[in-house]
Amino acid sequence: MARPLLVIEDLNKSFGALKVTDQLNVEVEEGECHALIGPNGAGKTTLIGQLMGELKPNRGRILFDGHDITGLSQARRVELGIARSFQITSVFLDFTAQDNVILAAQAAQDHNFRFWGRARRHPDLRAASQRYLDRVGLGAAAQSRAADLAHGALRQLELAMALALEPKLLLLDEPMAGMSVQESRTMTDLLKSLAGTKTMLLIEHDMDAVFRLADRITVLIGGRALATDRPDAIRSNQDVRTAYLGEGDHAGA
Amino acid sequence: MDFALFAEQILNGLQAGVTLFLTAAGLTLVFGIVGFINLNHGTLVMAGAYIAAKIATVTGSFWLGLAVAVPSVVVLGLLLETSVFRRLYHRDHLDQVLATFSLILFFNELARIVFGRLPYQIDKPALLAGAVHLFGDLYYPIYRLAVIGVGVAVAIGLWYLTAKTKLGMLIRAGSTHRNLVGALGVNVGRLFLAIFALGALLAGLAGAIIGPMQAVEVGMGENIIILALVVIVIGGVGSIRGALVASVFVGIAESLGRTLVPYLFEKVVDTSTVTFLSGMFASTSAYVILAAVLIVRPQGLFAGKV
Amino acid sequence: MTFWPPSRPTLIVLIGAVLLLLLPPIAEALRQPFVISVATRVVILALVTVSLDLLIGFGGMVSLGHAAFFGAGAYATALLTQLAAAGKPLVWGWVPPVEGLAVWTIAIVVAALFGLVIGALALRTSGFNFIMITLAFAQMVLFLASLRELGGDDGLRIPVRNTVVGFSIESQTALYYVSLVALALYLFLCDRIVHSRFGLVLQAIAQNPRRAHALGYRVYSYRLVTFVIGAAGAGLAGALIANHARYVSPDLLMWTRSAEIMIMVILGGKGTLFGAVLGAAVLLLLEEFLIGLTEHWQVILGPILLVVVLTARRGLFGLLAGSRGGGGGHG
Repeated sequence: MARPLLVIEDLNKSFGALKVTDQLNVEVEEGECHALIGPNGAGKTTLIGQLMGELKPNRGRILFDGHDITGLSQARRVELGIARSFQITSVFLDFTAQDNVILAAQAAQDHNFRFWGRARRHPDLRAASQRYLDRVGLGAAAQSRAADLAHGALRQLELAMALALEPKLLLLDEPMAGMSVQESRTMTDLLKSLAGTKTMLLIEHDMDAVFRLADRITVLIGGRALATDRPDAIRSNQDVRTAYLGEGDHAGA
Repeated sequence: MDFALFAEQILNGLQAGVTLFLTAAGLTLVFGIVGFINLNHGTLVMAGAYIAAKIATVTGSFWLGLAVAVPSVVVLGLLLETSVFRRLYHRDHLDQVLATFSLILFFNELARIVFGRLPYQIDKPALLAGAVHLFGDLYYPIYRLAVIGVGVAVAIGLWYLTAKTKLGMLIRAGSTHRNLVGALGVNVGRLFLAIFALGALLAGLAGAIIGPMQAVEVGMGENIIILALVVIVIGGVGSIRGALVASVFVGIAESLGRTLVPYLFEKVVDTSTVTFLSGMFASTSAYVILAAVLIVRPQGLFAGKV
Repeated sequence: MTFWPPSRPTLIVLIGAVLLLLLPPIAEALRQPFVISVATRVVILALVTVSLDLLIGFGGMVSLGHAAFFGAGAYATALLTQLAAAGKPLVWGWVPPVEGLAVWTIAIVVAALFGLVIGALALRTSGFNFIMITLAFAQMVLFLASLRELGGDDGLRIPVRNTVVGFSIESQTALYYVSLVALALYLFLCDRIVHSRFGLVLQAIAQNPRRAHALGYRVYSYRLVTFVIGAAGAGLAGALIANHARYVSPDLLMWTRSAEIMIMVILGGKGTLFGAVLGAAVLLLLEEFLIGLTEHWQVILGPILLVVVLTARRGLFGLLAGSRGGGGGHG
């Protein structure tokens, strides 16, 4: 369990004078749910961008599963086993929920320059798609057009797509964003059920969810890691309390 | 090549760049803030040229032609905006391209019906006729210098407008954050109309002053619009500064290509190759520059800066 | 999926196919042989329209330079056939054959190569800039076609038509059927492609490139391959139009031609493939009709097209088929 799956080493990224990632070191161990919390502007989403390869860091290294992935393309990273979900729902709106997951499932199979057979009729892809839709509780909506789905359902679809890639590491960018309390609870249960089987890096503002799900928490402020520890230790960490968890008026860097 | 010839080519390029800029500025403003591709913008230039040329031919007065043409084109622009274009703002680029292309077909044919098939050729106004001695052997037509002057004046005017006025503030806000302007409580419809009027004014002006330098004929709008579109993409869509830099750059590149290339290569290769090379430079330099810029910087040179 | 009773889109395609197959004998019977010549042009332009629909309707790549590939195929065919007829060698003493299957294959490859180079560079951009850079490249290809060595503005005349597997296509009817077969094959190819895994990814990319990236798809490669397939189709159409007119000129590569093909795509309904045939037919026939009416026909055509763009968002195929067209919906 103690083997680190993802190692972020001395990572730096700045836009002009603004440092969004500042000398960051984080290790995510295999099988753990590692939460990343911090105020808006702490550099969480830009970190996901760097982990995925959308943004190039200025300095530092990212190691994943023994590979240095710092300079790799997004496609290579996905092949190695990293998948993400988006903070702002990002699916294929003109397609059905099933097609959306088929696209993720076939991405995992890596032979897609196939011009002949009908993708939607492929039995394995359909079965895989249905399995993941069931898993996130969207089984009944398989044939609905994504554009017609409610917000909560889209968040579930987003997760189903990430899962269908069968990744070793899931990057979850605020999976509860914009959800009702009830939806948020369902999503938390869902993620809880993945615990131990999937390594997760979770960004979330819903602190109830974070403390229920996370094995360890890293607190990010101004692009720097203020602390990394177990949830109860973070809860009682005086620096974190002052800087972030709402004690005193210093919140919101 | 002596220095005078070189300087003359630079001036010619500058003058070509200026006419291009007058067209491109309106186009890029409209695209930047409204998000609308108006292929038909060249038609406004053609309309300005025809109206000015017709009046100049009939009355003998270039100035009367200019005075009538510019407001007429503004009116035409406003009519087009209210009747057709505002229905296209929320459509995708494809629909915008095709709708405005349809208008080109219509207006080209209409021009043929109204003004006939023969090109118009008009004289320079007496005030600006003749050439002025610049230095050495270089005598340069006053009219072309005046056109360059108009370009400089318009560039300064646009800079003042965007940097110092409320309309300019909205233009700057709108070109980078299109949704923001509506949220500021501005009457977006009126703002768009004002921007269109400004674009039409510049296009009409470009058309009216082109007359004494080249034949006024059907199809001239298309040639101008394609170059102007190329220019605004090079400069970064929505950027007036970019449009200015790119216009001048393209104008000078074409002008130098046409004359410098024969000069540089005539000793090295045979005549037909020289003709080929200079033709290639003159007719493709804008596209080559565009391709080069977009390959290095896909968003254009001054993207995001008005 | 059951094949009987056929769905409405399938029915429309079947009816269209039967009409196109029976057109020459009917025209002969009615003693209107010139109809076959017009129909041949319709079929050839339908082919190039289908190829553009693949780019626009499925790949989300709004190319305003498609005429370049059409022209490349046409000029390649014209040059090779001229040499073949004169018995002159192209390179290394090799005299091109008159056989169409060989000449057209080369024409397709030439167009595809143009597509590969232009696509590789243009696909670095997107949106408005992509429209403009494809236009710019097409203008450069237009310049090549206007070279004196290639006949300049006068273009090239082609002394004989190609043969097909040794058979002559000098008769209008023969060329018509050959073009129809080419159209059918290309349509079949595209239909398979858009429903394949590749096609699904392609459409996904058109909807949301960022998401497709995050799923690990190499967006650029999918687009480029599609761009080349589209260019190849346009090249084949170019080879056929060169045979049809026995003449090629820079007119084939004008940007207005690219825009016209785009209008055919929209008129037929983008993302429907079969609609492209309708779009090409309706626009060409409308043009023929208006030309007969007045020399100033464009003054009527312009407003009609404007209304089409403003109102018919799903295109003719969408109107006829009722459902969401034949593209992504069923299958």
